[in-house]
Amino acid sequence: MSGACALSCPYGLSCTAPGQCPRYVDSGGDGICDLGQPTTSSSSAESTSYDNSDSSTSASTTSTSQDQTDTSSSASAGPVNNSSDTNASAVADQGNGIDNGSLPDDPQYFTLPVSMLLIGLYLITHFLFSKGILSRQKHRRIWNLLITAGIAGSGITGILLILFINLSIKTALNPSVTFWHVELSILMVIGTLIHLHLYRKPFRNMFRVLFGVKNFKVFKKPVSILAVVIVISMAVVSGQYLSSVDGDDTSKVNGTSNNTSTSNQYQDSLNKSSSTVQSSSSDVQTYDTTGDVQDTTTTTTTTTTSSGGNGKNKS
Amino acid sequence: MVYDVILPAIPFIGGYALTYSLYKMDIIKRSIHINVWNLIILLAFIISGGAGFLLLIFMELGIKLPINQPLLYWHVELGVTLALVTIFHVHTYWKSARTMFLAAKRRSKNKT
Repeated sequence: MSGACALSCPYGLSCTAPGQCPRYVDSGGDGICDLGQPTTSSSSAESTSYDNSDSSTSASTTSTSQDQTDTSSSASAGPVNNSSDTNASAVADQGNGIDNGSLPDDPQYFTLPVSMLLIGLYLITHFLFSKGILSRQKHRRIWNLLITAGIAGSGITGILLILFINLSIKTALNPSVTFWHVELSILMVIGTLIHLHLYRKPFRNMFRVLFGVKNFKVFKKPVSILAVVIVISMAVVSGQYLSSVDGDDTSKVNGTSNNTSTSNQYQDSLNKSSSTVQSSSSDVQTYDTTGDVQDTTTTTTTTTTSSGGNGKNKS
Repeated sequence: MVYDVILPAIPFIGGYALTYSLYKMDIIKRSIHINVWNLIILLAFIISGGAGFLLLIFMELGIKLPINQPLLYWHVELGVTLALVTIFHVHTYWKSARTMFLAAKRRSKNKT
């Protein structure tokens, strides 16, 4: 369960409403994205799984009909709640995430093909320009038009996505808007790099005008400029991140990082409980109680969710 | 998390109005006004585009890091800035940008 659900959020986040990306789904209404929730629910399930395993073990060892009835009733509460109630549960969320089809776990973006196509096109036009077949003006015009299309498309789709997120608008267009935002952004990025190459003289002139850099030995290679700017931007971003770690993000970050380990612990606990039951009861009972353990944990998760979603991260 | 669109845009609109008015009043040179905004658009592009590109690579490779959240936030916020400063960029180079959309024949007709 957790292995499949761990791949739900492509960013590895557990967002609160209205989410940070257009993939935000909250079928349970607990204010936490379902795509980031299964790992959290596994952590809450992990804390309760020992109790459930104990109950299943005691049910199998005493083998009284009353105990079995109690265990089965408490365990069967899970599926009943899942089918009848509209409350959030791990099973229901997993079903929504997989069966909808509108939220693919691993969206495919054509990063490399589009980049290679654009670079190849530029090489062709540059070759034609250097041979005198294409005039400088036409060459620049083609790529200015392409970059304009890229920036306009990327900007419009990006603003649409911000509106979707801020206003919590859920439409069938969300995945396609995200897809085109990514693809047009690739066009924009590659087009901008080509734009910098086309206007490299004014680009160098910019540093001379602003910083008085007349000797371009340091800036001979554009890679060095890029490296300096990347280092500065990374420092700014990491500084911002470190300052935000002290606040609310601490619980989220710890929640996501701990949940991956707790999901493994949960699997281990399940294995332990099933092995304990196997040693004390028959195969049929072992199968049932293992299933009951899973169902009981989902029921516990439902209860925790309805009582307040924020408490999950604390566990 | 709700993204701010208007708040990050206000300083840039004010800044552009300021440098443009300073240039119009002949207090600063046109080249300084243009190059300041070229530098700003470059920085916005590098941070926003770089963050987006990193997020795309992380997503395709299935890498989930704690830095994804601030990366996504700054990608959006500086993307808004980039969109705004791109409009300023087109405004700055409007004469040459206008020729991009007009056919050469039409331009020659307009000249005559």
